[in-house]
Amino acid sequence: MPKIATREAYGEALAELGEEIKDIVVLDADLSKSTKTSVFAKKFPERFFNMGIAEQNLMGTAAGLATCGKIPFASTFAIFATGRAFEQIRNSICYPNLNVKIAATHAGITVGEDGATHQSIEDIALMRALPNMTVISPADATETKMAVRAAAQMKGPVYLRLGRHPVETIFGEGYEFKPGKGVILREGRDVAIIATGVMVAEALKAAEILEKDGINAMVVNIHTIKPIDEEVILKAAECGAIVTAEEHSIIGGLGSAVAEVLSEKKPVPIKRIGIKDVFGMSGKPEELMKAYGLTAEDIAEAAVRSVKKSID
Amino acid sequence: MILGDGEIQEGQIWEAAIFAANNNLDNLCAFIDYNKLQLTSKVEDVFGKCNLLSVWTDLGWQCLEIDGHDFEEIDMAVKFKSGKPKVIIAHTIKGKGVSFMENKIEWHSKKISEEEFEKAMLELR
Amino acid sequence: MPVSKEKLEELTKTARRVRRHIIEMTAEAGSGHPGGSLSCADILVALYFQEMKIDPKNPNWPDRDRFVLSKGHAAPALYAVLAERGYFPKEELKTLRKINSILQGHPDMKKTPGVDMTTGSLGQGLSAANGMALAGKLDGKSYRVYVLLGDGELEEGQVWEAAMAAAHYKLDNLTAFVDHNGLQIDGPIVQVMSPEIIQEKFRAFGWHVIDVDGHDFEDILRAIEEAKSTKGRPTVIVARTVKGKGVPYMENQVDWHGKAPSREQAEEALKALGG
Repeated sequence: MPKIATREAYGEALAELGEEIKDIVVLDADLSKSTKTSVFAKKFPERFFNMGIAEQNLMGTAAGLATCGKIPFASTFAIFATGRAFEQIRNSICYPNLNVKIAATHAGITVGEDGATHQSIEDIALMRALPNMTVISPADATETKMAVRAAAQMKGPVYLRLGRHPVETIFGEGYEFKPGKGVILREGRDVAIIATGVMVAEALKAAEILEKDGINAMVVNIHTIKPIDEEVILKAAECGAIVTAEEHSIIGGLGSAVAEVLSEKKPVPIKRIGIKDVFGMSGKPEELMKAYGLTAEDIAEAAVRSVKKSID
Repeated sequence: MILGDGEIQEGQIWEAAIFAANNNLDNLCAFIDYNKLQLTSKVEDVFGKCNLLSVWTDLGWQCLEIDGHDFEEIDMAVKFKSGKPKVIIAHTIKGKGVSFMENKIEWHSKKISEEEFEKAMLELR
Repeated sequence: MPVSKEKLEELTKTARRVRRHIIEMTAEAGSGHPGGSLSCADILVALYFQEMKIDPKNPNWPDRDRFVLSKGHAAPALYAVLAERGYFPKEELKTLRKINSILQGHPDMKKTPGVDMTTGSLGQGLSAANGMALAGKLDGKSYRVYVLLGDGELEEGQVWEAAMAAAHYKLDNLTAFVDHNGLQIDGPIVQVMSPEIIQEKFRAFGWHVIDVDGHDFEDILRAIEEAKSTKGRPTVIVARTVKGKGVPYMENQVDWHGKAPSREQAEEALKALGG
């Protein structure tokens, strides 16, 4: 399967949807070549607005467009979208529940060489805390295309978390994407790995490693982190041990969301794979994944430990 | 302090600029690297209506305009005494010194090939 | 088109009623921002009772003119004007800032009929107004968008991001007002952080600028006409106003930015305003 960055899939999907849904307008903060909104811009120049390097105004303008019935997709890097313009997203978009889609690319540590200032590892936590917001973190190009369509079709604010770095395409055309519904990619009984975004591919590899050790792991893809699919998490909890995996801080992201469900409804041991409350650094994406403990091997190791613990 | 010409589209710059003027920070000297190109386009295509010089002057800054590749002019501008915070608009060429990079937007952030590297190093010798 | 003498008198009377509401509402609520509400009352009355193409029976009419109160803390003025204009019963005004009220401390478009944009966090309104104006251009609609900013609010960087964008996109269907009362929470604006010559700044950012007396209806309405006939760029009307206008003990007093009058003070204010 070819490796495609989710931002590439976003650009294509947006340009396709633009044909079908005339109310879609796209705003960017001078990063259209990187966020791939340039594909839409070329096709529909009159419906594309480059707001310049001004993210707060980007979000506010999107809100105004939404009050007039438009479906604005506002794009920039995740760090600027959710960090710099957080309060605009909160007060001008989420509070009035406006139909704005925030499609943020270059999320997570796989931004790579640009370093810590550009690696957004707290965006899920920030967006998840906002009432009315839906948070979607697709795992590959196929899922991204489906998520973009779903976001355009649902009412209300959506945060789409997209990556810069090419990732393996896991899903084929027949894949079914339902917002808010987790997907069991692999059945298992000893331990469940719940992953999101680029970590889904790593989780699947981890399950294969575990298989060789005689551990039968379930793999669940949580593409919609909010609202979270409690049902599938409780099903996963029947394995008796859970490992979560995300390219995000272990504080406030997928791991926290899963822990919230488990601790209230069905407490089982849980280990969180993610960035352990530190900032990133420059390096190649693969090197960074290794340095911050985000590889299939790291997941498998955590799974082994949690299985042992649950047996003890 | 050196600012990019695209960077000054960020509102935070204007918050800081007003503060500096109102507190008479005459020990502050800002350069604007005015190469007229930002990531996706020419700066003037993004926000061409804005008159850079008069905006800073109106805010209460001392505004100077120089050739950003002329050491004499840079030196004079830095030494220029003013009772206000000072902004030096330095006209520059993006990619200066490497002929195939000069004034080319794509070289904002592009990987250099081995061949290009050799060529650039030859020109810079 | 010059406004008739009768119409001017009518607007003056409406503004007086609006100011009375502002005093009664904030006194009843025990909190709120009377000073900045009184300063912008005449601008709102001019817009809602003379200028804007609106239908109070159909607040979400797609072709209506829009208004964004970027200085959201002046909500009492907006609510009073909307109630007077018939968007909701005047009795509702008494519920300002109370639990389960449709009248929140700052404007909420999902709760109050006639409110076009949720605001309250300073600096955000002009961006939203830009979005509305862009949508109007895109759809070939003739509606106009008005936005009212406070002068202290101009210290927010987002305002200048939006000012730059409005000029770039040639939003001549957008008119901004600056309620230039010269006072903000921590004192006179010249002391806190002076956006000294507001006019010059907007001009440098590519806007058409008009100066008016913000308490003179003829002046305000003339400026709006000029804004409508200005093509190719947005217009800002810098309105010189008096904070607390109409209530002698509040006029130009910083303390009345975010303080409600007591019962006795309210009585005194109502007496000064007259019926």
